Amino acid sequence: MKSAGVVIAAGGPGNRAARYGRFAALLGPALIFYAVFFIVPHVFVLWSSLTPAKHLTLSAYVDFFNSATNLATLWRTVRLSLWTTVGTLVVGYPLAVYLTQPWRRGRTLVTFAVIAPMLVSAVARSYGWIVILGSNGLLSRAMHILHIPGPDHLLYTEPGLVIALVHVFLPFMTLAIAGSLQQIHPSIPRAARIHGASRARTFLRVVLPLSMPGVTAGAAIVFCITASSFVTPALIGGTTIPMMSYVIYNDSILLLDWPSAAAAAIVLLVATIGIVVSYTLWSGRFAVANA
Amino acid sequence: MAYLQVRDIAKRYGAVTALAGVSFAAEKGDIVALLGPSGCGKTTLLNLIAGFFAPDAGDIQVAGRDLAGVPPHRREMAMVFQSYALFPHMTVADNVGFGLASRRMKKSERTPLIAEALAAVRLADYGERYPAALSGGQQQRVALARALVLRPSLLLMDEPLSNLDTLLRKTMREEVRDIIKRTGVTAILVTHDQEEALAVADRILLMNGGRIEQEGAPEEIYERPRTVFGARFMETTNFIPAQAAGRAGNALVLDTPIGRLHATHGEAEPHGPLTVSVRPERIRLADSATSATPEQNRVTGTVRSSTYLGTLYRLHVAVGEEMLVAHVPVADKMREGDTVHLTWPASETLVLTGGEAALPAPPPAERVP
Repeated sequence: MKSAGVVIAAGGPGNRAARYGRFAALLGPALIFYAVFFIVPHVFVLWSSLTPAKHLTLSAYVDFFNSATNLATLWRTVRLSLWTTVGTLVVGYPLAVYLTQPWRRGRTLVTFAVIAPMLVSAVARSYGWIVILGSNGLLSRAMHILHIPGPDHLLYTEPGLVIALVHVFLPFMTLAIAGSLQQIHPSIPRAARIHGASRARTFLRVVLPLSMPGVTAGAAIVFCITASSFVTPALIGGTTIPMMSYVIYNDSILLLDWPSAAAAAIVLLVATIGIVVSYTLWSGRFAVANA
Repeated sequence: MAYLQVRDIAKRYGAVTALAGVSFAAEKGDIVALLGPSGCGKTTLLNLIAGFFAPDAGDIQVAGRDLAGVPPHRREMAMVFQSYALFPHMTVADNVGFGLASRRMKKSERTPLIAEALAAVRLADYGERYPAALSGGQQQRVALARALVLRPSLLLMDEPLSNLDTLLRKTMREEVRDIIKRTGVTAILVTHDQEEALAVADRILLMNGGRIEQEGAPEEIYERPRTVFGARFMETTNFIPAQAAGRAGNALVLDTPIGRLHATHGEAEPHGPLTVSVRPERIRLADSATSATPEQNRVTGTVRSSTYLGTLYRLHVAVGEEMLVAHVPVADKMREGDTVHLTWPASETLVLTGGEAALPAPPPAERVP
């Protein structure tokens, strides 16, 4: 970013108009795209959430927050998104460490396995999970054989849905952390080891803090896309444990109640942004300028 | 027994032999340089001493303690890395105190030691800064302070100066040697820079192809290379193929394409293809009256080019099929096509084992024990 700025500035020192012209040329396409396909629709959604009647009113929001079901769904969405974030972090961090080791053996295969869920259609993937999580599915049969107590199926349950969501969104977490780990020069952990730090201390005091930017980015991404995901929750959670995306879909497409759907969408958006921003600010306390 | 004892260390990476049985020893307080081109095994050897990898064979002892199976953090060593490897998320003071904290020293005991170490590298006021706010030379000194504050059994340095610009590198050489000598720590310096090795080390191990090519004091390595590789690496010029043709007194007689030459150094009777070398600055111009003696070599040639280098002229002189480079005083100005007589003492004639073709890997028999 910095070097790009320098190059642009070097092109026309003292010629601000030309400089801004070049900025506009570089940012223009993205700005127009976002304006047309992101900002305008959101303004439209916001507007329709405020106009269930002929005049401006907050009644759609009042209705939303007066519904215990809606509040339960909102809370479930936040909760499942958090669990999914934690799940991808727990599975994804070691995976990212593995991927950034200098050993070649099997790395290509593992990288492919990590990215694979993204290559499969969400619908096909979710039906795969139905086979595994369903009644008499692979998981419950395995648990039965191993005498692990548990429900006879995980389909339409929150743990089952979190398992499927972790699988889908694992690449985002893994690749974000791997990117951060790759930035750490290999001699830095070695410096910790030779100066008396055990493996555990090297990880906790050096590697983990230096990889926090990746963890923060990965967590923010996974939380957001989980909160707004639709296909996986719809197929695996169904109507038994709906998430917000299902409520929005139900209101808009099935009930044709656009103001309610719009209000639900805005509530989800605000909640997601609020949580991600406060998390990023909180974790920013630990992030230090990386040399 | 020597303080550091490295015996028959071997390491392979797949089909590549990084180290083919290396042995050396260092006395307490010595600075030993592992000098050689990239790929000669010097960094591998350092990493094995540090314990980052295990050797395939051989053993390493420090102060009589065998280090086989001892993890890096229990070797009580310290290291300065080429990239400095400072912890970017910690202040300078926390970087320097990291090793002490790892050894569970209390903060109240750490603080004065950190201050002392930073003062020793002239960075007393920089404790609260982050490494990113320091220049390369300052970061390098923080890395040195972080290592020396531990009073390590062995200080390992991996190309510590090669990231600095030329001018700073030259002043830092003396400073690094000074600081190390003041603390009395035993140090291993890995470098590909012969000047750095000459300036900093007490002993030099010249490495090539996973072996030690020659070992000795800096003067010895520079003045008396024993192989073509060693001479090349020490930036000697003038290589002439030669055959041993007996002895004349204490001088070795050599038949070369530029005539019969005498050499008085080299104790053992050399064998195999030989190469004779003489440094350009050791060659003088002679008048036509003098003749060759067993003490003084003499050849006649034609000046092919003459380059003015400020303090001297660099002459390229064709002697038969060979080309010699000589550095002569400005007063002896020569022109292209002039016939010149070149002379140099037999004592400055280097007899190197290995022909030109044998340059990359010398025969195992030439290993210095």
